[in-house]
Amino acid sequence: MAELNTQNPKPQIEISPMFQKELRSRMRTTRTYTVLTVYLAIVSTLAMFLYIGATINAPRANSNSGTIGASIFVVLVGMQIVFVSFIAPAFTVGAISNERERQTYDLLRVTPLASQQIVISKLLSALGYTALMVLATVPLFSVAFLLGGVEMAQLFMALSVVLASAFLFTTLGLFISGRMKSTLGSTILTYVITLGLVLGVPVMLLVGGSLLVRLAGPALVSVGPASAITPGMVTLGVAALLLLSISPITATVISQLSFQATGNVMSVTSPFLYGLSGNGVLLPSPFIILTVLYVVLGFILLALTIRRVARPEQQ
Amino acid sequence: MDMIETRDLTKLYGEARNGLRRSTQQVAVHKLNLTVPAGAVFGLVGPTGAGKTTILRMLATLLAPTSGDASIAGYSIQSDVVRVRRTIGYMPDVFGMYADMTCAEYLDFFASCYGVPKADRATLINDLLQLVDLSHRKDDLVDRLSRGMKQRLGLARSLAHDPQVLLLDEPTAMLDPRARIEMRELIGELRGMGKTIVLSSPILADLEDMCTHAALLVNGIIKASGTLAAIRTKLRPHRVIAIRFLGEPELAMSVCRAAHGVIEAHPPPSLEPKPATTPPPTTTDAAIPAPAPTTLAGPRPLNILKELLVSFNGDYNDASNLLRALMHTGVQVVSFGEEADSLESVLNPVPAPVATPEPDIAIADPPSPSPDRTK
Repeated sequence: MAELNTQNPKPQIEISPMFQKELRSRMRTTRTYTVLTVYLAIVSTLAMFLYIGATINAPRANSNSGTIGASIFVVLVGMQIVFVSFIAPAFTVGAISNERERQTYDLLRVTPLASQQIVISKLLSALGYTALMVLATVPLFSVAFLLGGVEMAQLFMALSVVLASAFLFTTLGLFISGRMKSTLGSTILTYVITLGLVLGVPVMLLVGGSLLVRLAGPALVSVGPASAITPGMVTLGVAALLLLSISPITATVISQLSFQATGNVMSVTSPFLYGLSGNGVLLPSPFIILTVLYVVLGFILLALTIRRVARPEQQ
Repeated sequence: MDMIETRDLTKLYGEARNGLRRSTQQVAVHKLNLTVPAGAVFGLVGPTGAGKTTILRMLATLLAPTSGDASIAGYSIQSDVVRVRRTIGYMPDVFGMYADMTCAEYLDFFASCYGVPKADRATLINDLLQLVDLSHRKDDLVDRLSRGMKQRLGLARSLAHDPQVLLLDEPTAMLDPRARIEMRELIGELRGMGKTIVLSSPILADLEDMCTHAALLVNGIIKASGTLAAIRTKLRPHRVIAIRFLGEPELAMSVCRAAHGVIEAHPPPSLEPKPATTPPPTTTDAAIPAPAPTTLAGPRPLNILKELLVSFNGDYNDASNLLRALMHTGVQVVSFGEEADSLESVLNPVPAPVATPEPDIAIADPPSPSPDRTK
């Protein structure tokens, strides 16, 4: 056997073997390309139908191209959020539980490879693929831009929500995968949480919001002078804003609406509904809250996963 | 020098959770004190559930001990995890393969995990594949290999960083007889390379020609440990020699009893039709009646093959002298040899403490190669 210098812990600059392996395995399967192709096909077909649908009713296309561009943009962003939220965790829900099922988990852990290397490699390879998916839709966004009606700030808002969601849901998948014995269990739990955040929260807020409006009556929605704003209304507005910032869908909708109404990228005002008219207390825009919240949560989940992998098993 | 040392190493399963402590706790390994000398091939033997895998996983730093500690090459398995991991090569009792990798990629990956420089890896992989006789399957997907090949590839993987110590969990389990022999030869080669090897098996016979030392485990407790000869002496202080012969059993028996090193001689218990007068064969009474066949009146009674079991604690010289004495007195010895049942019965003794009282060592109990291996 070759003489080896195993005493030398950091031999040379080389990409982490785990990361190499993850990328290689990821790009080797046909699933990777299939998912990307299907995703692009769906999104571009939808964009095409939107374009056709909008232009068919308007003989002279350039008269309302801004509206078409804006609607294509909205649909693309919506699709992007939903797709990324559901596809991103798919690449990590099995990341660790699969190693357990393949019975390679112990083999990895018994190597001197640091647990952060194992976990971060898996995270990066999954995020890399999600980023590829987001990047692949950029040409479609450019169509929206060509038609006009969309500002750079809106793209910025949309992208930060999409990327922060991708990060959180990827780490969530990783975290749950590290806790669960089976990939099936990990998949179910991850998707229940993701579904709850992405779609459940908006539905709840919609139902709750309409109930509130019905109960509290026009007092809430009427636009009054700044002096009519009470601290209670501000608090209620802050709470509502935080709730709206939990879900990528509501956060994007409110941020975009607020931007269209006030032209403010980074802030909204509370009480939120007064805020549309520029009164009230300034607060960070929901997409900022969401981005910060998701990134922080993502890092916490990541740290917990690393700790979990590093620890010898108790059972 | 001792390469591996355990000090009161204990593992309880079902630990401290929401106050259910104690009631659900189960002892997997109890206060294990073992020493494995450098260069030894150490066998952990015991039935399924005896704690073999638990011990190996604790030594491999994968499982946290409940109490106690162990050291490998002087490094604690609890506080010096990375050094221990560099010292050991671990092969679990499952294959653990990445289906989408070729054999070469598989070894390359694990070698790189152990920090083997890229420049050395190509040579290393070739050497490893040659060692485990898989060079011809280098570019095949690991999924396509047979069980025996997977097991050998697993062994190659555990050798990727040239560790001093190898922890092999049931390396010959689930292999066909030919693959078993190959694995055994490989382990012999590794021993020749100076590696300290700890391996486990539910079947003692598997280890007898591989190991220098062994520990017999039952329910997480060591029944005996040390060199194989020492274990043998401890568990069964005397051997049993079976003699088949033609001639008078009384004569043969009296010759045997007079020989040095013989504790007792008696006919095999199960073969004779039992007349009511026959006392139990283990009695120390000297006047044992002749076996039934010889009492029958027949034309050539002397041509019937008889058998005697001799409990024997002498050395090889004594055995040789006994044989000579038998021949000398005219006993026509047909075969003379040690009973092969060896130590197996010690490991798979009483199945469970049920209503019927069982003997201490159930010789009649067949060695069960533990078909239930679902872990």
